[in-house]
Amino acid sequence: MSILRIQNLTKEYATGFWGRRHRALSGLNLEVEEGEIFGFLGPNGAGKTTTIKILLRIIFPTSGTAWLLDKELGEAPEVHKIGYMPENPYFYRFLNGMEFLLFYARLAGMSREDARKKAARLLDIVGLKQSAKVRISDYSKGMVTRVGLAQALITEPSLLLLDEPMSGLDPIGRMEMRDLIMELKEQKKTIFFCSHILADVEMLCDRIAILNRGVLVKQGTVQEILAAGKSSYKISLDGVTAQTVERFSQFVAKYDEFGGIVHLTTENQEQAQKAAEFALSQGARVLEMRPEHGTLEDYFVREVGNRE
Amino acid sequence: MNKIFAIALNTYKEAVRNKVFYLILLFALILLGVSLILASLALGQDDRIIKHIGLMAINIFGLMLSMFVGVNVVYEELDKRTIYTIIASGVTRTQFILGKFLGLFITVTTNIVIMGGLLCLLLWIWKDANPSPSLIMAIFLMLFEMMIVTALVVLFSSFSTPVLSAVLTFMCWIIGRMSEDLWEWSIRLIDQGAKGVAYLLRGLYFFLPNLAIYNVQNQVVHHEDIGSLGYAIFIYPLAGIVYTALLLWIATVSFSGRDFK
Repeated sequence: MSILRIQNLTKEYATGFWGRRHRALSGLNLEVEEGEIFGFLGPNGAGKTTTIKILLRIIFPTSGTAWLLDKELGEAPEVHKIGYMPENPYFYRFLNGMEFLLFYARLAGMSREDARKKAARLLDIVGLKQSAKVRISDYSKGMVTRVGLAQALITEPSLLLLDEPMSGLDPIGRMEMRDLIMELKEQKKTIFFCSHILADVEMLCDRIAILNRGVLVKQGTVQEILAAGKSSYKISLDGVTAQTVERFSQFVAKYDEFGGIVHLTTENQEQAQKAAEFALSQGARVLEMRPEHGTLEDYFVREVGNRE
Repeated sequence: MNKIFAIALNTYKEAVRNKVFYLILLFALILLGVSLILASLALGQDDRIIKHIGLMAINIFGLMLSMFVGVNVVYEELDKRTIYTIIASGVTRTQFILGKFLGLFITVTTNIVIMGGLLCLLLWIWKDANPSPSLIMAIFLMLFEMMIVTALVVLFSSFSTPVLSAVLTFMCWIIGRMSEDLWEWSIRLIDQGAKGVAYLLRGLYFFLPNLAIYNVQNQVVHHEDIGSLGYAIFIYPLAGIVYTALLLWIATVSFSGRDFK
């Protein structure tokens, strides 16, 4: 069941003195299923934050519409079921962590007692229990990000919109955030997040969409996207003589030798087959032959780079 | 309503944790102290001096507080993008504006009540006199003047920079205080044939609030009649509330269709 459905969403801004129209988002169609982690990727200015801002009614679409939890844009949203953490969050510096969460709990209409309990629990979960009474102005960037996530979770939402949640976190903080996102998934929450950190996306997401200059480039599972990309075959051989090595150049894209083992890379399966047969005919042993897909980063750079 | 109060309380906390609030309060208290020194030099006029300087201090510092703190309350939310999570929490743009106004007005009221209380205490210690009803009325009317000023600040800061908001608010306050003079000047200008300027002044007279009606300081100081009690208690406050509602309505309309980039 789709928890988030975006239909032909377009956003144009007036820019400059003469109000020239700039299209930030162009006819975006997207569906996010309940309980999945959906990664929304794209370079700076691709339209990721614009999309989230439209979904949250921070800005209004030029055309198109979207449904969040079956409520169309313009209808009264079920906001307590939606959590949002902005990119590079800047929160009220005059409040401490606990006051900050209580403020959002009050906006959600929670009772004082309930709000205190939830805020204390969330501060513990995000590792800020000891800093609950410290003003946000004294928080580090990573702490601000974590209190931002606690804020997004205060109403125990079923859908989380996270804009660059790993931004500003150190490697340990990133790992903790990943664990937390996985924990939320186990709690059957749907997570829609934008990120530049493709390794995290590859690790966490069930499905992804790539956006570039406001246009959807690709969407699918990480495996589908990687499989659709350029792949190669890798063959490892033992017992190849120096004379034979030279003759592999007719089949392979590249070859390396480490510790007596020759590693060949071919562009397709047919060439890999020929190279392996040739090696066997020369008395070599085939240790390994496997297809190799590129990383998400390779795919992203290729797809987005080609369109620049 | 709950959301408006939550935003108002947050705005109030922001204001009272701002150093500017205490700086303004400190200067106002110093001015009250100065009034005591001057009062001791003015034989037989001491209570007038204390009332005059005291009421002036409450008024000027109330204005400064609503301007210097107020110009940032909406602007900073937009500039620092804290408004994103507020709107995402289901707060409408109208609730946001009303909450901001209410929080700011509670801050200004706190300031006026503290200073008004201190002024009454000073008079009681100095002259062993209870505060006169006219003095209480002057402070009461000042609250409505500050209510309009606060609404002006919120309106201007919803679409302009802090500096411009402060300048526009101050200009409106000056013109509002001279409202009755504007009418007199327009009559004289028509007599002199400068009809264009005269109509401009009349436009300002009708368009901007008449803040002079909330200023009864001279009457209080000189023990003069402050006019009809009915007007002071009901009509002027009601006019202030209606004008404030109008300003806030304009602010919410200008805010309601706005994209927060």
